Amino acid sequence: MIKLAITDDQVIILNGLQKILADVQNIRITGVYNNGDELLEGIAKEQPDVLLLDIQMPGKSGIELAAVITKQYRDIKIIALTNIDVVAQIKKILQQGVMGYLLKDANPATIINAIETVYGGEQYIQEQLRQQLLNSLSAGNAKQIVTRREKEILQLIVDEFTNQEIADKLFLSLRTVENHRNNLLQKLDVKNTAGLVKVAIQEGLVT
Amino acid sequence: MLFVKAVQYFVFLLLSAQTLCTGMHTSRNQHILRTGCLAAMLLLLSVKLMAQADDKILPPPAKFDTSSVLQLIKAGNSLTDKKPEEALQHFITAAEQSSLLDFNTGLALANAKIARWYFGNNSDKTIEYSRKALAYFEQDNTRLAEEKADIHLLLAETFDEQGRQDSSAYYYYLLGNEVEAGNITNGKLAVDLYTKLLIFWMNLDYTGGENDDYFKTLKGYVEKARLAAGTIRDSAEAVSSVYFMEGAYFHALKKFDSARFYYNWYLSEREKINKITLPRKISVYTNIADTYLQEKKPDDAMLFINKVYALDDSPEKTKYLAFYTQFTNLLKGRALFLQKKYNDAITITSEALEKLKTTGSHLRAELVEANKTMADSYEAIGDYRNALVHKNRYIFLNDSLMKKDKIDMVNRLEVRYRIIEKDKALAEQKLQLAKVENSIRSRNLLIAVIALLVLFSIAGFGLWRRKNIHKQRLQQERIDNLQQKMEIERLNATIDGEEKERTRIARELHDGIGALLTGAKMNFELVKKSNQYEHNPDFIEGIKLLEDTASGLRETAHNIMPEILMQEGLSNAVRSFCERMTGKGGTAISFQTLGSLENMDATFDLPVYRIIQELIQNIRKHAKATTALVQMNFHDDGGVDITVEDDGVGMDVSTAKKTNGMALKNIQQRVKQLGGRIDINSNIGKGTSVYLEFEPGKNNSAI
Repeated sequence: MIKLAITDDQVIILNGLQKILADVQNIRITGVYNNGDELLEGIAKEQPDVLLLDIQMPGKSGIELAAVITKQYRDIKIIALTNIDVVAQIKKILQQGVMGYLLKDANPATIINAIETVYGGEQYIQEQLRQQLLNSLSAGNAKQIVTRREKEILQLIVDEFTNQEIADKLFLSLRTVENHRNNLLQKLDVKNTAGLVKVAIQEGLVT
Repeated sequence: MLFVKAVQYFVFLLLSAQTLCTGMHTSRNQHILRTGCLAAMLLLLSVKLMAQADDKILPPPAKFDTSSVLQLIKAGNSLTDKKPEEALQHFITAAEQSSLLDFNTGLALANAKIARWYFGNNSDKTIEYSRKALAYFEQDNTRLAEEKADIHLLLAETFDEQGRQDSSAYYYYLLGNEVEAGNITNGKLAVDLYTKLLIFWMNLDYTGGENDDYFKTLKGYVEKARLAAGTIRDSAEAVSSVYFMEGAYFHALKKFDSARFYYNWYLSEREKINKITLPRKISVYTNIADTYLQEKKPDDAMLFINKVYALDDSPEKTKYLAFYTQFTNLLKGRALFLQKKYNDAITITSEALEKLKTTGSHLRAELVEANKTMADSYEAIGDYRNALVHKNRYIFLNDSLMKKDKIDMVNRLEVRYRIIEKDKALAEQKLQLAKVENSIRSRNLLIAVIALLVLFSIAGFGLWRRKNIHKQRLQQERIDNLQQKMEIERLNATIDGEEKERTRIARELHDGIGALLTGAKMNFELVKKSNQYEHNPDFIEGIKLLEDTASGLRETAHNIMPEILMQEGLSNAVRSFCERMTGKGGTAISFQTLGSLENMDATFDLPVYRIIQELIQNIRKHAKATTALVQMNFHDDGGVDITVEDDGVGMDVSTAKKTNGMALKNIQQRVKQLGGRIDINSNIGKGTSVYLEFEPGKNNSAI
């Protein structure tokens, strides 16, 4: 039997979840809380196995609560329940030791599956979010792309034009050309024009 | 005496009537006619008698004069709290008598009192009578500046009550000017005025209490009131008013303990000198209750709410203080809701809302909040239909309040503008003085210097004069700067207000309606499971529709105000947007950043985010690209440059500006307004590359 507590400031969601989970055989709801304070008070009395925790609540936010609970009650497995599908936020929440991540519009089977999975000690992240997380991780490692405009300027640098000459030629301001040049220095990880020219030719960025 | 007179009358009338009747009618119906005449005479007589009796009650015209009218008003004044209905009668009588006497001062004063009487009972009537009173004051042309100020204050309060802050603000300025012009010497009135101004500004809190300036303004009024109170000889009453203001100030600061301390102090001081009106008492109790409610302590709040009820519940007073009572009931509704007595909360709140309709038009935060209480309570007891009705009403009212807020804000700015204008006028005066002084001094000096040493003087004078011209120029520059700064500030505040409004709408959509939709969907999922509707296409389609609506709603909310921008900053927000768009299929959009985010100028966040959003939407709509790249480079000086590049169909930049380009033109214009630069580079078949560049400190525009 899995002991489950639910916290959400929106009564309508609390009611819905209770109804959904009411006739699931192996889950018993031991506490339903409206806010962080009630939650902390409640789990001090009866500790659940799994906690469904709304992240956006007035007063103590879900992230704060997760940090406190994972520290104080190591055995409680927390599932974040939220409308936020922004990768940066998901990462922040997972860093607090949260075991599961569900969107509020998840269907009943997904919710039950998530509860059982984290109870078994595994992480559960809703499918579409998992994909987004993976995408962002792979994107973070990708090598930085040199834009077409930067290549054009790189070509002119290799052809020994000065910044001012490039600016005049492309109808750009001097500052803009300097910005492009700085971007190139950063991307190609070199210190000066000589370095730019060298790497540009090595990597075949110019003709 | 009266009786004898009556009998004489009767006999006389009877006789004359009989003569009249016999003289006129000689037919055989004479008898019947005579009886009829008799009856008519009797009737006449009784009327006459009654009229005489009336004369006895009404004082004859000579019995009242201007001084008795003033007495009557004074008497009404002292009755106001104990026997409000009688007091009102006094004022009305005074008005009638004044009208008979053509006594304008009396008319003005009586109407003012009637207006004051209706405050707390019917805001529309208050306005009606205040206007009458003001009109009489105009005709009267007396120098009752303070009585007039009192009406202005009343009007200001009443318009505030009705949510008409523009009108309200007008009267507050008027009053502010009067005080500053020194026309109001009555310290008590000044303290009263500052109290009301404080409350007025508290209600105008458009920053959500995050703005230091705002608190400085509030504190300023408290200090001014303290000064004014110091000028009064018997100052106990005024000094205690300042405690009330301190309480209100801490209330706004959300330092509830301190707020309650001062409120209680005010009460005890006022009770000591036995000078506290019922409305004031109620407002203190409800304020204390509100501090508890804000701390989510409904039981403590209830104690003070009950104190209001215990004050007096005679029907007479209930009527006189009708809307105070109803606003107290709204607080009670909130408290009951917090105590989870949802049905009771609904009953009392809906009753109060209904009754408030009969006491004039109000638009106050309490009213808006009450609809939220209703919606929340209905939600809690599972009556989603009614929850939705009230949620909608809440959004509508909140919206009106927001519109109101915007007007308020403009008004506030107007006040500041005027203050600055005064500074400007002062500076100009100084400049004028400096000019005059210069010319006088230079003339005197000239004569003296010529007498002494002509050559030397010319050189010296030249130098000296240059310095003075320089001084004049500096003054002029200061004036110009002031004006420019004000313009910019006004513009920025308007933008701020707009953004705040958007944030609120977005949050309401996302958290309010969004949650209801999710709840509805959960319920349908349950029905699906318990009735085995898994294969019922209509039902599945219905759930799908709900899901689509919910996600559409979230997207709309996001477009109105991308909250992620506040929480995660520009870089993460753009990254997330690219990921989401890639997730939707079509063009794959990659994102990369260079430089460090540390110094990023946050004023660019929203406009830049919107521009990038639009560029990406354009790519998705028109470019037919397989990949696109968004690159942001954050400069150390707080600037940023952005490249948005795709490998799509491209365009001819020179013709695109003419044809394709509303969107493009729009973007160009916005970049220009932000003081940025844009460089569009595209060829047909070779994709498009858009480069944007923003430097810090150049953004002073409205987007």
